[in-house]
Amino acid sequence: MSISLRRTGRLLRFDLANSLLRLKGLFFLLPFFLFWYPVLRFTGARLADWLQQPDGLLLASGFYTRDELQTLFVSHPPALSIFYVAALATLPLFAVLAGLDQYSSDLGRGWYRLLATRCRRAEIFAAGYLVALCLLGGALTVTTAAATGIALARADYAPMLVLGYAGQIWVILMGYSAALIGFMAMVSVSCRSPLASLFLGLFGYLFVLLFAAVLNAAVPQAPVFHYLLPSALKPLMLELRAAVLPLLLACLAAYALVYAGTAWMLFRRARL
Amino acid sequence: MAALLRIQNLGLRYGSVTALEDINIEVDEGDCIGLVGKNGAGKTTLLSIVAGLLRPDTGAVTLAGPARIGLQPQEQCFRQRLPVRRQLQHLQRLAGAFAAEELDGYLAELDAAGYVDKPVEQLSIGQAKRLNVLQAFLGTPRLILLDEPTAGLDPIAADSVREMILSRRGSVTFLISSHNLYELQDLCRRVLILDRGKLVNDIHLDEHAGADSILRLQLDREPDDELLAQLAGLAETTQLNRDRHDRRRLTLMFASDAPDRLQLAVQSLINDRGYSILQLNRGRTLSDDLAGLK
Repeated sequence: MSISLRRTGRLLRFDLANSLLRLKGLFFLLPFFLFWYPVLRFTGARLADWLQQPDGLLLASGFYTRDELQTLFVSHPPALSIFYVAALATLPLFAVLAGLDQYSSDLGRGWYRLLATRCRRAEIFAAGYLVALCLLGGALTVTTAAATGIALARADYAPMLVLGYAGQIWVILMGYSAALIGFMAMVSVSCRSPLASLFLGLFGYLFVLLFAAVLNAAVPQAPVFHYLLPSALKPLMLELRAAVLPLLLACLAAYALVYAGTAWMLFRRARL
Repeated sequence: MAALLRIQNLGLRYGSVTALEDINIEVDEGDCIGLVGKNGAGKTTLLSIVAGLLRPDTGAVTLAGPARIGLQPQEQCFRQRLPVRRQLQHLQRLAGAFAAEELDGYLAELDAAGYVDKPVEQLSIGQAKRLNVLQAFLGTPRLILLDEPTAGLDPIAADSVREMILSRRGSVTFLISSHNLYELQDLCRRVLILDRGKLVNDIHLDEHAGADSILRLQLDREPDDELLAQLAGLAETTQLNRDRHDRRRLTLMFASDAPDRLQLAVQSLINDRGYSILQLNRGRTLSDDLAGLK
């Protein structure tokens, strides 16, 4: 049986259509929109106003460098930038929720035994990854559109600038999501229940983050451990220069390939 | 008949445990083959490897031509909260051939149309099992692997499943794992016996039909030593066994050119000693082939 895009598409559509009835949908979508609705509705516009005042910039200078402040809150619409930095900070958590049940439930309950004689394992794997990515990407698209709407409504920057900026941060967030969903693919393939996947994902990510920080402190000349996670690319993500974008996206794609590739190596040998 | 399935030198270990060792089997197109053995003998492992769920450590499984495989796993594997019909239609579409009539036909055969629109979590074990068997037939596969297809089913449902198999035997190739020896004798022409991961016997049941050199008796009471000695002492008797659990049951193996005459002689001997025969059967069964596994 050769790999079929038709079958992969069918697997993807079936799982996406039914995701609201399953843990993979509800466990992610509810917290995601419960978080973003108040953030966008109540704080986005007010926080943007405050950040354009000296007090706001002074407080923000504790978190960002001068250049980053200039780029985020002066050169670009602050309402969108607030959304962007909040999205970057929370994306790892939401990726854990979106990706925790890519494979674990179906591996645990045996659903793949019914699929395995009808599809290739690569098709099942690809569909699982793409479903999680579509869930997270779709939700991010909705919130990016909402944040763009808020920025456009403020009318303090030219509409084309706002839309261009929105497109840029959307692309970066999609790339970051692809990498993080790849990370969760590794976790989900290793577990046979979504709960185990949740714990391993959360604590695994935190552990690697801490591990990298400790090793970097021990060996400051070689910050390579920092790059175990894609969060190491945050300085590049905050540069927001068009010239840097191709490099950033290539790096995020590399993370996605390495993580998803490792997950695939585990999946193709897994006992279904 | 050309071989549809070839299994060569198949082996698999789980750590220090040998699940399968040096399995060599050829299955012809249209065959209906039974797999039998004790728990842990390797039947499910063998079916899992053939279906591609497991990778063997050694050996190979070769399927002739573009053959689709249907698999009925031992446990039901549907998603819990989705209506089963939706899942069955999805499985049909994946096989590339969605036909509502095909699904409806199978539902009617197994009398499952009344609950197929419910999610599995609302079904009984038997209802879920029927649908689990049904999905293996969807898309008209050339080879269907069934792992204890009637275990847990009521007698009517079990009959329906057997009918499904019998009506397609010859056009579809079956590999059936079962602990129900009578069922395998009815359905299969060939039975493979596995023991501790090895293929210990390959029985063609047609040969059994002519092998009526076994007499099974149930007496009205436990026979005394004298009767046993007389039965064992008959010239044609090769072996005399007593059932461990029911001491009234005897199995007499013999070699005779006139089995009918011998049977009458045994009956007379028993009756003359004052015993009554409650049950008498003659012929070889799978139980005899499995006796060596005890």
